[in-house]
Amino acid sequence: MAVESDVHTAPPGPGLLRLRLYVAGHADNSQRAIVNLKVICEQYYASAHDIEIVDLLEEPLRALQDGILVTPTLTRVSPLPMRRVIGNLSDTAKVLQALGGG
Amino acid sequence: MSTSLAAPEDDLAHRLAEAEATIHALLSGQIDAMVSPDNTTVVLLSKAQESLRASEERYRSIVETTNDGIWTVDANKIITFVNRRVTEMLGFHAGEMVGRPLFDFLNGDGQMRAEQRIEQTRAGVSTESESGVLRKDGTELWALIKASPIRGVGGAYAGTLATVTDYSGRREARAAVRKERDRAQRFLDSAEVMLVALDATGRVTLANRYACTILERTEDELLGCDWIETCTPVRGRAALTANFHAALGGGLGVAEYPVVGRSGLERLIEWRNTVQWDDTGRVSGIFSSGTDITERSRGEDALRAAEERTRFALRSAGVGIWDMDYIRNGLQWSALMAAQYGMPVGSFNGTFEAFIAGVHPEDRESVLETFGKAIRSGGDFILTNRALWPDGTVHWLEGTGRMHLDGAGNAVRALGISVDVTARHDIQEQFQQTHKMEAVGRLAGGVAHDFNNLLMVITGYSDLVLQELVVGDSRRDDIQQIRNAAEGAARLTRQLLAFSRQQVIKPAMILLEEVVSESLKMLERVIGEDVEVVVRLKQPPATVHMDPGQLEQVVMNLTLNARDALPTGGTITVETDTVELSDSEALAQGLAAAGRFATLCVIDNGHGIDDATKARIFEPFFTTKDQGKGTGLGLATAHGIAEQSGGAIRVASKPGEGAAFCVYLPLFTSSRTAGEPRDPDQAIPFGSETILIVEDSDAVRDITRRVLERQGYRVLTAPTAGAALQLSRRHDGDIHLLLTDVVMPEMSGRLLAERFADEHPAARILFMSGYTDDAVLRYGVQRAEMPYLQKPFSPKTLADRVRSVLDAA
Repeated sequence: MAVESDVHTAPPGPGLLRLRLYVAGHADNSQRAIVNLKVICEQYYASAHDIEIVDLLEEPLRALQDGILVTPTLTRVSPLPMRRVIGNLSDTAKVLQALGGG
Repeated sequence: MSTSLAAPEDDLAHRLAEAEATIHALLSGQIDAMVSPDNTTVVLLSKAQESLRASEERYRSIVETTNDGIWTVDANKIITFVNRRVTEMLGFHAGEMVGRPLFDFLNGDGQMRAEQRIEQTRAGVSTESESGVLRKDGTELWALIKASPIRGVGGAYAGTLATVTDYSGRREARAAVRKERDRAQRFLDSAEVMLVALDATGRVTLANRYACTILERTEDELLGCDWIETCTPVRGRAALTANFHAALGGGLGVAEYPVVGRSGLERLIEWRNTVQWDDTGRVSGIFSSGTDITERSRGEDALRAAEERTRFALRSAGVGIWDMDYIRNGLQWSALMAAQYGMPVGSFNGTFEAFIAGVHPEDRESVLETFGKAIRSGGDFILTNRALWPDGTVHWLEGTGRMHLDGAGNAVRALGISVDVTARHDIQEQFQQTHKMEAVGRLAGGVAHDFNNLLMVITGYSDLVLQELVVGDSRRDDIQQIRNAAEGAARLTRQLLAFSRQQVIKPAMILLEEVVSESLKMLERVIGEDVEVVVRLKQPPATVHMDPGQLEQVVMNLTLNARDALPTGGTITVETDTVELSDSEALAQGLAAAGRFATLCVIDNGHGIDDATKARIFEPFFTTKDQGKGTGLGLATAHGIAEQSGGAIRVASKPGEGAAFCVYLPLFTSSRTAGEPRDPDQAIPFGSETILIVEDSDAVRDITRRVLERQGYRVLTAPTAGAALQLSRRHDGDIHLLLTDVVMPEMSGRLLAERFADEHPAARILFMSGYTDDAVLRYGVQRAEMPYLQKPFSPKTLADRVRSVLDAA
């Protein structure tokens, strides 16, 4: 429940913001994470982003590749360095911090 | 809820941070599935929660079978759960409620209450409140809702759980109670008295409509306000505050004080206070009912004013009031009443016996009889009695009473008034005394008149015979004795006339002390040697206007009276003085008006005079002396002379303490003195004029004629005025003098004189009379302003007077 003023708005880095969200089918937290992420990106990053959603129930191997242990997990693919946020992304401030910070 | 931040670096710290974030996410239930690193299988955590669900199911069955409804809402007030009871109560399926906002099931008031409830639970407080909940059919269910917070992992607020109890029955019961209360309120409101309840701090907890009207405030304004500060006038607040505490202690059942309305209008209220206790027995406040007595009070004010007027009137008029209560056997007296009995204020003990004790012993029987008669017959009665004061003085009281009897004829109450009439009584007595003395005097005067005529005849003929007889004739002595006796009788008659104030007097300016001194010299011989006479005469002498002969007589009478009081010797003190008396002092001494007076007091130290004697001492013929020793005229004559001279005589005496007689005579401050020397003329004068004698008494007429004829006069006589007038008309020649009696039948001497004077303007007139009655006084003959001859007169006096009138210029 972050307050607007607490938000450190992260300017998009050079190039496109690429994100990947690992989910487990229609499980509640996964669905909530999808909605939360879309809302945040629409609000703060407009169209300069790309979200890939990976359903580990369909592509379990992707978890192995990316070293994912639990769903939902969000990773910043680019710009580097890669960052991870675990949980249903309901804490917008934390999400923005992870996505925007160097 | 936990969001972890992890760096991709392959170092231990980052891995630990990521692990920690993962654990947090797990604990907060944000993890859906875990990936097994061994076989790359994804394990959904929901399956792992199955067992947990089983235990939850048990709770759910309890929840479903409880008689209370239960619902939960999340932090956004979205219903997340309802139990079966809720669906039964409201008529919704669970599916119709879960997922919908709670507010959809509440009306406006319910929403507001729910908002408050949830805010409180969010702050961690459990609440309990009543609220309406909408049924599916649109009606409202009244419910008691108890709400408590739902904690998420980590203790954060996650929503509210509420139990819902059907309260519709209780609400109706309460509505009934309220209705009852409303009825009571209406009853309170319809009452024409102020009903006000105060708590123990003096704040208003109830006020009915009448109270609101009087105070010109709404009930809402009054409730909770400080009663004394808001609703009573400033001036009485301090006292009221004290009274309020007394009332709280149960000390004040009834009170009377004004209240003030918003506009400042005051009304006087009579209050009845009842203390109220709470369940624990502590005083919780006061319930008061107040009656507006403003009008009544004004009426009472008017009544009080009227009473005050009455009281003033009674006090001014000297009217005492008594009130006898036969039921309680008590007698109430006003202050004036007690004063009439000479009792100090407050000393009367309120009994009939005490009243009787104050009554003069001689009057007690008649007072008891008056009351006894009134008790038997009721009605009004008159009460006249004397009061015997503690100091021994006697006061005359007069009053009226009214006796009230009950239906059975028993005395219930008697009341009445009383007035001290002592002064009036004294005046009345004095008046009666005066009246009596006047009557006696008139009688005496009448007798003296006839007596004088007889004496004149006796002395006249005695004188004539004496003149005929040669010196040395033995019969001369006999005749002289007859003459002396007649003279003694004449003196007695003169005293009678002096007493009856009908003596003709010749007042003059005289020096009191001179006359007194001269008189005492003459008295030396008659006062015995065993009596000492002390004379204290004031110097310089006082001038009074009176007949010196009369004054002599007064001195003589008083002194001889004093001597008679000292049969075995003693002291007589004769003193003179001057005093100045005010109106009231003058009145007290029997004098008509204030002024300066000369006093002559003759005081003896003899046996004194008792009250009964004192009351009659100036009455003529009243004497305490032995038969033949006193005429009873001495003091009466002194009394008559004093009054005739414009003065008065008083006696002060007590048995065994001697007596003092004091004469008050108007003092003349003018230095004029008089004292015409007594005419020492010896020779009997002669004349030759014509004299007309008018006298109805044949004997008197005859002796008068003979005396005058012998002196050379020509005499005509007539027995009546009419005969005299006829005679005078028939008579040729002059008539030089008319000598006429004053009081005659048919026509008075005065009228005759007027008629005669018309026809004989040159003639002189000389009146003669045996006494001076009112008719003579009216003609102004008394003061010797007209020639006048007092009968009886001697031949010489007659001749002298006739000559002097004829010779007057």
